[in-house]
Amino acid sequence: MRRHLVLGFGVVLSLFPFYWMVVMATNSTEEILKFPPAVTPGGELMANVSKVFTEIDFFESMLNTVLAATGATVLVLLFDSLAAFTFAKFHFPGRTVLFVLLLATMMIPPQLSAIPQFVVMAQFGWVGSLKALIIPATVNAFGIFWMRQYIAGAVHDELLEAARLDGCGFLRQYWHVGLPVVRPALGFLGIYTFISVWNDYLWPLVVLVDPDRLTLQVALGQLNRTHDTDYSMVMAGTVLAVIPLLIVFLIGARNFIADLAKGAVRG
Amino acid sequence: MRKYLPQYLAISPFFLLFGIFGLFPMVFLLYLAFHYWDGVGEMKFVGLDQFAFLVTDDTFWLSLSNTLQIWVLSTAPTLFLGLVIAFVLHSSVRFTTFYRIAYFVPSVTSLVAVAIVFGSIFSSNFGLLNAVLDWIGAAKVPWLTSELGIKVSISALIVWQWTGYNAIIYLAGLQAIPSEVFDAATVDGASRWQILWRIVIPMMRPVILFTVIASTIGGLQTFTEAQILVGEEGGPGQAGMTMVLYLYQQAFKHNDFGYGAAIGVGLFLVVLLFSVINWRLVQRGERP
Amino acid sequence: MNRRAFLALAGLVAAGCATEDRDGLTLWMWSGGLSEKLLEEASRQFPGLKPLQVGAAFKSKLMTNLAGRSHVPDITGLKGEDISAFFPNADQFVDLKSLGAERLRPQYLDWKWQQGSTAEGKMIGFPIDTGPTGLFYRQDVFDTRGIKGDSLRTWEDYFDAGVELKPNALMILNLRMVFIMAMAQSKRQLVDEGGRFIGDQDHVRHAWDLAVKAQQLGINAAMQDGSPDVNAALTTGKVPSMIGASWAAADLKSGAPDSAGTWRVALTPGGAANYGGSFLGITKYCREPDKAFEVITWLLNADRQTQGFLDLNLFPSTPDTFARPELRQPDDFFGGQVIVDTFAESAKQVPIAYLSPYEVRLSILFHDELSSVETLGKPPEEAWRDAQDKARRIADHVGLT
Repeated sequence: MRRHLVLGFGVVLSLFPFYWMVVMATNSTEEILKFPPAVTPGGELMANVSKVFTEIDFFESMLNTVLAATGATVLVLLFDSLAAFTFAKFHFPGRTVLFVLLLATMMIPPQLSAIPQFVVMAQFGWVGSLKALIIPATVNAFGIFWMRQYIAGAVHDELLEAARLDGCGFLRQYWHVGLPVVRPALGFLGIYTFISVWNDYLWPLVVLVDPDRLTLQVALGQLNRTHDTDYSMVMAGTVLAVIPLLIVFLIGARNFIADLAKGAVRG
Repeated sequence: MRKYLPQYLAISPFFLLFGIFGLFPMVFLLYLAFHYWDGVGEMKFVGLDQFAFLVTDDTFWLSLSNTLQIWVLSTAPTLFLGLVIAFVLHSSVRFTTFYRIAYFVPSVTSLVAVAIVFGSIFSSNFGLLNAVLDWIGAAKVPWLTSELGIKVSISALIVWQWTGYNAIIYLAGLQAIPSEVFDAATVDGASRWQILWRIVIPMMRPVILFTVIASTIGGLQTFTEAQILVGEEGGPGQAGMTMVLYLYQQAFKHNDFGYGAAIGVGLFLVVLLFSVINWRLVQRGERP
Repeated sequence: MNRRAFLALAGLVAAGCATEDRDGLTLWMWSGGLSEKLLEEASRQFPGLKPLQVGAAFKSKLMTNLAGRSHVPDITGLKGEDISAFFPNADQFVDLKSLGAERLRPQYLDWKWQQGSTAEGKMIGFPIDTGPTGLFYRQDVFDTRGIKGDSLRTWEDYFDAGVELKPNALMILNLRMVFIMAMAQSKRQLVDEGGRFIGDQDHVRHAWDLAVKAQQLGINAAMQDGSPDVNAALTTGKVPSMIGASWAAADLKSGAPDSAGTWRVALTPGGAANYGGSFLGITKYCREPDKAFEVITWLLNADRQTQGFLDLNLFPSTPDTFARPELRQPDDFFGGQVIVDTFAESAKQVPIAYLSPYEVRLSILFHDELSSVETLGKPPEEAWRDAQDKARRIADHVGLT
């Protein structure tokens, strides 16, 4: 029972900001800012949401966000699992150096390269297109690092050895031995990638210029007006932008977390 | 060499793309740090001027100190609480799926959204937290208007967002420990704390290292949290001015891309230092 | 070596020049910079005109796209405080004089017109609105102590009234506001025309001392601009006044709607000033500068400026409109006051100041130190010295003397 009290208290802390988000989105800005502020959901949600819809092209932005996040996720899963499998299970000249280099790339704050990256994008003619979001997002050192750690423990060398003796080449070892075992890790990385592309703010803000090609976060950023801030509207927009992602997460979450645990136990 | 061709091909997409979208921008950044450039006009070569300015720039050192303080203030509670939650979750039987999801949700929520919400919670005069403090008769705390308050608020946001995420990772690590180990320890009369400190933590060393590395990377890059909570100037006393925020401010707000790049090089050196430390820890951990 | 050559060396020009869909005219604006109704009307009037609302960090975004030479708008808004930062890159813009802007000059406020031109006389910004300042105050709160808002002519009057009202109400929003407005009342800013740093001189010290005095009198609420605190305090009357430009009236209306009817506007204590107010420019990437100029002059003629005031309290840069009956409507938010009259009087007396490209960057250092004084209790003299040291360093760094 004490256990559940501890866990329950943690859950309240964990979920409270979402509740507060809903409170703000369903009240008017004045009700939030008066003292004491409104602490229960109000009836202004539809009014706030309709303000959001007149301010930004919500559904177009959502479509673009989904396209960018999906594209990046598929490519990341392919590239990263392949590279991670290689780093974890094969010896080749330069492996350590290349892996250290890869780790080093993880340390580069993405904000650092916004300007030079924009110059590159301009040269490619990709500015304003979703390619500019998807392709750089596939450079995901974290994913390779994470998968490598996972594969190192989960894929047994004996299995690979057996496959090699059966005459399996590199690709077949990856496909038949590596991939089935790492599926839980793929689930994790997939959701992780999808979420990080979905939530990315600075880079899409810099590189997307076409009003029909904005992502949800950038569109939300536009809600944050320069002079007057309508918190309720911003929060209504935020709720709208957060909910689809939460639904995706909640649908996948059960399996994702179970798989993750199962895979970890097996490893 | 030929026999390694599949391996090199397998890792080539990353390094190829990294070359174009990661390495080239970095080289360009280094090149920029030797110039004065407003982003549009011609670049002017200034040699080491930007670096000379950097090492004597109080604000740069302040931003380094702020970043490290926020990193410590956020990472220590995040990892500790994550471990505790994972441990309690591990020994719990009912509602575990619900708990896991509830704890994981903050980490998937957009930082922009979270920062706006936290801004309204910590706001000094009309924030929720101070309203509650006022209501129970306690003194209001200047969360976003004092040096310590700013760092605590930013850290609180990070702790909130990442504790559950780390707990889930720790939980996976815990579940990898054979249950016989726990059973044996319990039979021997070990208390729960003893199990945690003597058995669990040593066995989870690789997992903990992973979370430490991830937190270091995240911590040194703290930006959006500070920018939205205290603004581009870093708040009173620039207490929320992190390194990346300073870089962003100089490059994008003041169009001083050369100096922004020099800050970037400074940041890179700091990051390099921490990477070397981390890498050594990882290697030591992997040694049998 | 320039950037292009470097890129060529890096072997990255293989993809060649970016091919862009560039028919029509794109127009970048921030939210609240031009009336949306007007922009819609303009889109009907000029088929192919694509107004685009660019969110926060407007200047950064424009700079980035100019740097990337990609997706640069044909027509762009330029904020009053930012325009001088674009002067070193005036070659990125079309000289509006070459399109015949001079013939329209008599219709616009002279000082505003000059602000849009570089020292060499190249005109990159065409006047949208101006930002004549006024004292916004809560009549109901002032009445409790019998204070007459329009009798506060000097900073001393204003501060004295603040002392009357404290501690129930705190007159000053924050020290930054006092410093900014006192500086805006000065003919000299932080850098002079000769590229000399003058931020250590008496006029700056005067503005600083005023801010510090407000702190010492205990009439400062020390609230951060743009925080929810501000709107709440303005709504409840905790902060019963604000010195701001006419466009701040729109912010007040949306930020503190519950206090409608209690506000009034008077002339700024200490003298008229201009704060903000923006411009439209044409970039050099525009393929149809003549048509773009036609759009600009259509959007910014006297009739449309009137509309801008009615929609967003954007104060016209065309003095002939000040007396128009449409503009002189009683405003219910301000208890039926004809606020345009106050701002019109202010607009006529605005001091003309030279703004260097580094003004924003340098003034921020003073604002930061004042914020340390008000929130962290930093001793004002120490804060002044630190501001001076930092400003001097930056001045040297960017090549000022």
